[in-house]
Amino acid sequence: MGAVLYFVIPMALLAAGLIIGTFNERRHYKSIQQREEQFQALMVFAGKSLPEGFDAVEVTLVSGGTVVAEDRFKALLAWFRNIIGGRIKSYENLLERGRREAVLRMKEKAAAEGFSIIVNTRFETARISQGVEIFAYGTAAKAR
Amino acid sequence: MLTNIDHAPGWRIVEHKGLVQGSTVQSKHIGRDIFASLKNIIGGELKGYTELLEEARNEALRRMMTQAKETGANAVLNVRFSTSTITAGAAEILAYGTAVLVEREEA
Repeated sequence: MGAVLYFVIPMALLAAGLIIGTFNERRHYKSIQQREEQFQALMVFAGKSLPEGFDAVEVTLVSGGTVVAEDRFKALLAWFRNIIGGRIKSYENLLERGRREAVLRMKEKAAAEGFSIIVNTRFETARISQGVEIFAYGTAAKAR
Repeated sequence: MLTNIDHAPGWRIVEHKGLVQGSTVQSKHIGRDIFASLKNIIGGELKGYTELLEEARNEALRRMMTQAKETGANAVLNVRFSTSTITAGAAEILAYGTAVLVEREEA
C-alpha cells in the first residue's frame, strides 16, 4: 500500500507530465508558428514612436496574456538543475512559448479591429499561485 | 482613448490632468484552484487563470478610465500595468497612466 502511495502514483504523474506535456508543447509550437506566419504583416515594435511617414488616424491600447504552468516532469528537471545550478532549459521553453502566445493574442486583437502596427510593446511576468502569468501590451495604430 | 506611449498620434494635448489609476484585488474560487493543480501535472496553459486575469485587468482599466473622466480628461497616455501577489491566492492588478485632454490635430 505504501509503495503505491509513495512510488507508483508519483511515477505515474511524472510519466503523464513527460508524455502529455511534451505532446502539448509540440502541438503548441506548431500552432504558434502557424499563427505567427498568419499575422506576419502586422508589425510589432518595442520603440516608442511610429515609423516615419506613418499617418495614424486612430490609436488604442491592445494587450494579450496567458498563464502557463510547468508539468511535473519539468518541475523535477528544474529541481535537479537547482542542485548544480545553471540554465533550466525546460523553463526557458515554457516561458518562451508563453511570451510568443501573449504577443500573438495581442496581435490577434489588434488585427481583428483593423490596426496595422503595434508600438511600444512591453512585457510583464508574474508568478501567480501555480503558474506564471505573461502579459504583453502596446499601442496599436491604424493608418489613414 | 488609451495608449502606452507619451502622446496620441494625430491628436494634440490641450491639458494635462495628472496621474490616474485603477486597481483591483482578485482571488479565484477553490474550484479553479483544484482544476489548476490537476492541470499542473501535465503543464500547459491555465485557461481559468488567463480569463480571470483578463477580467481583472479590464476592471482595473475601467476604474482608471472612470477616474480620468471625473477629472474631465478624454484620454489616458503612458498606461502601465503592474501585477503582484498579495497573499496566497490573490493578486493585485494595477493600471495607471497620465490623464489628458486631447483634441484632433488639423491636417
